[in-house]
Amino acid sequence: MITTETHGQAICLVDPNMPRLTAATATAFKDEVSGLIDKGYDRLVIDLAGVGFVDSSGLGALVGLLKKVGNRGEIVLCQPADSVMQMFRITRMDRVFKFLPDRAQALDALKEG
Amino acid sequence: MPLMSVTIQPVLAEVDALAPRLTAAAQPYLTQDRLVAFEIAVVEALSNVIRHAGLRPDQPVGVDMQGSANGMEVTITDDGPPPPGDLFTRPQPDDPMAESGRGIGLILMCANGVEARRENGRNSLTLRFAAG
Repeated sequence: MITTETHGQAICLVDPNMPRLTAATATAFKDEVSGLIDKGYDRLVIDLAGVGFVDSSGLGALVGLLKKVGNRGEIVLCQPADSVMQMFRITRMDRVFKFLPDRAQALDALKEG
Repeated sequence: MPLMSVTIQPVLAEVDALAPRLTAAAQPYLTQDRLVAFEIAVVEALSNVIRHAGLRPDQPVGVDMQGSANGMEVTITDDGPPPPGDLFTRPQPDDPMAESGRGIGLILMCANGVEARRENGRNSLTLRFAAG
């Protein structure tokens, strides 16, 4: 189950709380974050520090969330492990998602945006 | 050299439990970058079998892993119906905003060799990873 930290009425920091974002876990993750978006939190920082592996289903869940926030919101990913970043590079999704090094910078970026 | 031979139940959580063990066993044979590619390809292949092979709970998935000076070889076997013959040769979708459909393309990108066979009523998929 994800943990969240809200910052104002629209910004939320999400910790997936799972070592692997994969076919086994992606649907539950997406459903939980999707519920946050439904509540109006459409500017999200997703902290990947604790996620050691992302597969195509995990990537698909993140893409689904990005599509859900659409133009009215934003998703910033932070602290991806090298192995996770490699998955984004292989699939060229490093060009689609915004990455920042840590939570503070990611939150600042959303507050300024 | 045989490194590991295991069977898992056809549930996705089993893939998450097994994949780190397979990657650890592959570590002496592959560089760090190739290890990541190894885990991506093997996870995608196992997940694909479990999601799409129509296996019953009593039909396990076999995983055999071999290492050599040339690299690694992983063979995944199952008793499901045969997959489409063009599974690994059909054009792969190229929509960056797709939420699914990347698995086969990732297997082909991450493995150095992919061989799918049907033998004695079993599906067999061998993934090869070059050393270095």
